[in-house]
Amino acid sequence: MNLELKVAEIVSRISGRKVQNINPEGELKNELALDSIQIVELFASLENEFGVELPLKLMTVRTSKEFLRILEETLEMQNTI
Amino acid sequence: MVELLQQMNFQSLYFKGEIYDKPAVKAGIDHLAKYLLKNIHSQSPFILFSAYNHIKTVIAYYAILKAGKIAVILDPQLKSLEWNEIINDVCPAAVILLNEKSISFNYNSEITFRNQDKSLNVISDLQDVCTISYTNAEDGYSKGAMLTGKNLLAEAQGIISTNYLKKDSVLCALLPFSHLYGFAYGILAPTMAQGSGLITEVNLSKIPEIVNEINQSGVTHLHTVPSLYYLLSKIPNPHHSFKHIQEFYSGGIQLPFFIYESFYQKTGKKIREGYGLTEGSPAVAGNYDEEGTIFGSFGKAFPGCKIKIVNEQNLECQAEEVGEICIQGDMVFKGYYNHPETTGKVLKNDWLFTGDFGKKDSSGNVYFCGLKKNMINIAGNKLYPQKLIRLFKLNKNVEKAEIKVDSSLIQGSTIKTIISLRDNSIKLQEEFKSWCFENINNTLLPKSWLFE
Repeated sequence: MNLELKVAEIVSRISGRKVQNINPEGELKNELALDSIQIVELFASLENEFGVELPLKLMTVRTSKEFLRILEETLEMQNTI
Repeated sequence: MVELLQQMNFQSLYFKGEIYDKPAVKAGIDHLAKYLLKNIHSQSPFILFSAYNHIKTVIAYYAILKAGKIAVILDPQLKSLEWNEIINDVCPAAVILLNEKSISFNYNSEITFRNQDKSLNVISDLQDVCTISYTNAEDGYSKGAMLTGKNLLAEAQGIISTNYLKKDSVLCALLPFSHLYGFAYGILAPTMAQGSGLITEVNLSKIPEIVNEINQSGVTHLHTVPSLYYLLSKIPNPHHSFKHIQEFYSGGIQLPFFIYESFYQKTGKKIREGYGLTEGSPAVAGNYDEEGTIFGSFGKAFPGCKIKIVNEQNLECQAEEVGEICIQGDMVFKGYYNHPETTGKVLKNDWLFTGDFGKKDSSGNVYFCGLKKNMINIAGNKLYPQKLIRLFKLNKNVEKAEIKVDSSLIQGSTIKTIISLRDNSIKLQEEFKSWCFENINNTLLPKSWLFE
């Protein structure tokens, strides 16, 4: 599974931007105009999609790239366990 | 109005690490009320105040009542278009725009007194009205729901009795006070109950700090919305963090099962769901039976309040039959300010027709079954598409606007808008979006824009 693409698709659905217009390093709040409740939505959508429990620190990440990094770490930890 | 002030019964309000006891809060109320009375020139019965989650909001609200005026709750998120509509509607004698960054008042910079406005034409009977809360209406224009002292006393008593609040209870509403749900549980109930209250900001990026504050203040009863419970369920060591909390309550929007279940798995606590609407002051029902909560049901009517379900022929439904939820009791509002016709559509023979579908089971527990009215509930923010379309069309470049609704895991619903502009250039699209963010409450705005 291409995690990066999947995260971009979810960010696209929530932000209303096309996948190709999602800059992984762009700020979720400033560049994609996501508000806090949409970041919670993003959080829950990722958990739902990947069947993992993500940490609360996800609420403070600034970019979709950081979201991806935490998701990868969490999936890796889950596989290790 | 005086009734509410006389019933004030609390021990302390906690705010930003400080403790405000009743004498201190009362002194603040008296001081501000005197200042208002001394400086008001207008005969308008209304004073607007911005309801931040702040100790000054509590003081401002009761000072307005003490000055004999009607408090109009203002959402600090409002932008110029809606703000001007409310100003024109009530022509307030004063506007209190609190500086949320400072603890103490600066009357000169936070209060503006307005001159008599001859255009104020009051056709509503304002007898006993003490508070107005604006709510969205089907025609796209916000309406001021008139609440009397009797409504709010009944509401406070309903909350106190169903939450079993005692002297050692500490109530916290993790909700914006500018919404009536937050106002009732964050200002009204904590000041009327004999216990204490915690006033805290609602910031989804600061959940660990908020939880720490909740723990430090010994909060025993927490009220918030499903999205917050979703985040609260992720707090490490919840048994320690929530050790003082006896009851968790949810409202604003139907609680999704995955949030209820995940919270229960982590904390061992069942979230009790309630039901209300601005016109019901707002909470009218809850899962307050001592034996616990029934998931999917918002419980039973508060004491002093009746709920019936009626079919299209206006006849009461049988158990399990779906119909419109109707409310009767002291919590039911007086009507929409200066809108008798709209009032007549929802208040019939002493019953409030909520515009919500529901059903009762054989034990009298009520279940929400959807919206009859053309309303969208986005994470507890109620929106009529017509309002947004109307506001968009105030922009001279808009030729056509349409709203589409999508379902959402956390927010219940989200909206996207399809806009046709005078020309479809990127420059005009960006100008239009900037205009929206400057002039319209951002919480109402869609996050997805399609220009065609």
